Amino acid sequence: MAPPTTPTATAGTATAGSNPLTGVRRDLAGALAQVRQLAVEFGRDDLADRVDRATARSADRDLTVLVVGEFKQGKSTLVNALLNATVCGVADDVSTIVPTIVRHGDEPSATVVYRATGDGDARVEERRETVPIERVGQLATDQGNPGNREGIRSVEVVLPRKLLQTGLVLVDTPGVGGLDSTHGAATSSALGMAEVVVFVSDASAPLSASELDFLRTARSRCPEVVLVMTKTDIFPSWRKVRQANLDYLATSGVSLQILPVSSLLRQRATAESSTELNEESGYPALLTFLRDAASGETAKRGLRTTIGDATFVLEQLQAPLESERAVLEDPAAAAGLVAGLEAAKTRADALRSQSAKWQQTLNDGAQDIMSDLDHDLRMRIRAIVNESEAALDEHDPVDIWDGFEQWLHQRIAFDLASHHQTMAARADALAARVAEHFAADEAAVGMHVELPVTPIGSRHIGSDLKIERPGVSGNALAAVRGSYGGLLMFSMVGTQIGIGLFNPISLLVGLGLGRKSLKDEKKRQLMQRQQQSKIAVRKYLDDVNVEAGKVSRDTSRTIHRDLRDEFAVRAEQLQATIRDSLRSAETGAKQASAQRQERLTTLAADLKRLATVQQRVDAMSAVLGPVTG
Amino acid sequence: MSTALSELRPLLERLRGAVHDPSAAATLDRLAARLDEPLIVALAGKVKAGKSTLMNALIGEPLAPTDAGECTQLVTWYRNGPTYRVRLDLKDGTSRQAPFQRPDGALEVDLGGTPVEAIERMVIDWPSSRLAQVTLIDTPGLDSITTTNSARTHAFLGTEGDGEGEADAVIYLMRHVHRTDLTFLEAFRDDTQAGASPISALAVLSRADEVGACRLDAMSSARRIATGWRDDPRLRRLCQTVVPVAGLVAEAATLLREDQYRVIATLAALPRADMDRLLLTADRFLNDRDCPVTQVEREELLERLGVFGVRLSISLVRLGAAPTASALATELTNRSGVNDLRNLLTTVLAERRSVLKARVALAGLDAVLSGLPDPVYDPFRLELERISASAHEFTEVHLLNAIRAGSLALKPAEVDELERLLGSIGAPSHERLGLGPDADVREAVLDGVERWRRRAENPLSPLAVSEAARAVARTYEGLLASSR
Repeated sequence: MAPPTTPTATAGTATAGSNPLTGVRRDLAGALAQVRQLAVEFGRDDLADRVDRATARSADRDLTVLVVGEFKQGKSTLVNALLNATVCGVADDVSTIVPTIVRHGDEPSATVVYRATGDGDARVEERRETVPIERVGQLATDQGNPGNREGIRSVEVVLPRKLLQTGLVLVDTPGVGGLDSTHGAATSSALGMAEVVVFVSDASAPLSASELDFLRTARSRCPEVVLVMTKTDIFPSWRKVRQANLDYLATSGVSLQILPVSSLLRQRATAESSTELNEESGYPALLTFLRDAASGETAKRGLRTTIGDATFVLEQLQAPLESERAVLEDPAAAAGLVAGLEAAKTRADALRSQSAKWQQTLNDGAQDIMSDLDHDLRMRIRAIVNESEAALDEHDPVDIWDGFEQWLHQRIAFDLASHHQTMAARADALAARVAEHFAADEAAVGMHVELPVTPIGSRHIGSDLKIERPGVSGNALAAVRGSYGGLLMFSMVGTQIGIGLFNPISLLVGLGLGRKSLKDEKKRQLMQRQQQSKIAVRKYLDDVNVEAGKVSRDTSRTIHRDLRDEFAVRAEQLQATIRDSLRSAETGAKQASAQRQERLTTLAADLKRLATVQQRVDAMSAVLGPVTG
Repeated sequence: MSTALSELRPLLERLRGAVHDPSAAATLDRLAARLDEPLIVALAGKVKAGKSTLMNALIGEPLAPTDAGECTQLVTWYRNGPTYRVRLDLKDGTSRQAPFQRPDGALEVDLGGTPVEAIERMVIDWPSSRLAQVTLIDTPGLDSITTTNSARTHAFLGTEGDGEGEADAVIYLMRHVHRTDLTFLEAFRDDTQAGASPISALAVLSRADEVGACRLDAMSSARRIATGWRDDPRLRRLCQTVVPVAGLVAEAATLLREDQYRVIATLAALPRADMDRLLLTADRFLNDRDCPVTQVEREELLERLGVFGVRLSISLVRLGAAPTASALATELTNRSGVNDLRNLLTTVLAERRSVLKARVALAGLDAVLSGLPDPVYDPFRLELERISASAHEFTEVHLLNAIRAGSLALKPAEVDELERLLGSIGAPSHERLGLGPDADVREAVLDGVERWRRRAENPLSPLAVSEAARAVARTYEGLLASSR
């Protein structure tokens, strides 16, 4: 991270097109195709499947860039200007109210995700609907969708853009402030899913105290944070403001880059195809920052996983060929080799069985996680209920409601985020333990296989996440993504807690009453208000408990299932490899000596082909460098 | 008709005669003096909301220091006075005069080494007709990173903890509505007496020129947003109305010099393409090399007018709408929206002076009496309660609050009528009745009295509505009295 005193000059050395990861990504796609072809050729369709899954996973391994900031700072304009497209709705008197997710794809398209509504019989599940891209600006803003009456959770846009090709996913969020400032709480809870946070604040004034607070939180929870200062075209004193911000950041110990930009100039530059204007707009520095972020550790981790998959498959293909060659070269050793393989086969079968140690570790662990998470959530909600009721008992709900509601939303967002962090940490630990026991069992099988288990990275656990492919063969649950669970709070806080029932001006009634009865009446009304508000809060928290509880249980179940599938498949593949090796050894032993030489030549050629691909994969590993952090 | 103020004043005097406690006596003396002073209006808002700039625009002189950092560190009073004078009131209770200079028009006060923390407030006496009716107070920004500034403002406005606050009314400057703004307004309203009070708060959508990215149509965008806010029930409960003001343009207009006009005219004469390039961004405007105007002149112009002001001035001169410096100044003032605000200040708020001062007196007396537990003062307490319960002004304020909060079961047409009638207290009668200037006010008033009396006596009306209707009828009667 650059020291805060050198704001723009330290953006990095990588420039457009020179990102090493782009090259690796491309090579890897080619290598995977080769590996797949080899698997098919050697009759291992199971391994070909594995390659297919790895390919799919690497294609949608994303790096989420969350664009956040106060109300009307130019976030949507920034996203549009980055993409050189009009995706997000932008106007002086219009604000974004629904998060918009933009990712790469060859065909432009837009999908609206409506949140589930109702309860019991009236329940309508979450649904997705394709819309024309031009409609996105309407649906995501208060102009076409005031108060989010459409009940939209998020809008997902696919655009063919070079910037996004590296796996960057841009998320435009509703402003932190505004009349519905509970969005602030939502934004904080969404921080958990982002690898990169682009904080937007315009050049009109130095950061406010709440902006600084938010930045501090973001800095502590996300690997990459940048402060983008927008609208430099209309604020002559932006340099002074930047200096003031650098001073504030330095004093408060938050180290960040500040990138000044003018979206207006960027748009003009695009319209006139002018490099000069583009440079002046400050966008190249921001793009460089994002590209660097895309080549950071998180992105590398994803690539390493896929490389691990390719290596595993190559080793599985290699093993039977090696056995056959050994027998052909030294027929006398055949008996010993076969005996060894037989023993390995028995152990591999054991690895597959329910009684294998890793299976028990997994089953017990998954049980524990589910009950612990349930307990964790219940305790958290109970604490919130208690605190809420204490507050409502002590004050007149009318006086404190606005502040109270805001506090409640923030408190829930905070607790849900912590709950999910707990979930992630537990899942992470379980995956590591299972992998360790599996590796120990596997080592006993005698077929060496590298098992690159890397941490899940707690940040990926969102609240309504669906784990499509945890890919334990790679980095356990790093592939937990695409569900944008962190965005759940945006739609949750959109729901006003149902108390519009207060009659704060009932005092007026009292004008005609005597002093004593007025007092009694006031007291009665106060108690009634307190009762009403407590019921409303309980009901709301019940909803939260049900929603979050379901997500949490589903997630535990998915973690369990995915870990089991992953390791079971691995064990199966291992079994198949041993079977093949045995067969090859037996075939080799029966081979007539005349054919033996011929077969050895073929085998050497095959092994050489495998080795060539392996070298290619190893070269990619070298580019990525050793694991750090 | 007796007003709450006319009843409270003698009560205050009697109580002053009866108390012996020196601190209570001092409080009462201060309160009494305050009732005769001009209306005290505070400008409050978040950091960099443009308070000082607007202050200058309202006074018409660059008294408040402004620049891009947070510069208003002190609560500063601007009063009309016989002579130019700056006084520092220190936290230890002492006061002293401070020497000052005006090198470039702006006021530079020499604090003489007194740390800012030790100063309670700065009082600037300035002979100015604009300050004759209102005393203006500039406050340090809220939500300021230097938290002592925020604390100062909260303490001063009485928004944290108790106290009646030192201002009679407040103009709240908002760049965008944030929740923090709302809680602030919530807190400002004085629960001890008038309840939520749109009566004493106005909101300004400040730095309105920046809302529309300084484009020439920026002010119409700002007006649209202000109208939207005005209709938001949450804001309606808290403040009377919202007006957009481009403070920088207004300030620059009052200070526009002939040489500045000449610079603008020179720029306006440039070929279209050159000018567009020049006005694209602030940096370009300052750094262009082929410009016929010196860089120093451009810098000054941009600092004074801002990007929007420069663009607007050049466009006005080009279109021939501003052939002279004074014509340009007038155009800029009109377009800045500051006239609307001044109008609200000098008519509406000033007309409400009596209600606003009465609220202050009531809150002040209540505070003093609650500090005097001796039963000797019980008659004073009873009298205060009687005035507070019977004063029609307060009932009207309650009623307006109830309407704005939507808690009275009235028909939409009735809500509109009362909104107009009560929401524009201080405006001429025909406006309050929704009539043209030449219409017969008397007939409409009589009709109103009649209708609302019937409504009050209708046995089917809920109690709250009956009470409200009786109060409305009384308001109409008041109009009748004044129309004679």
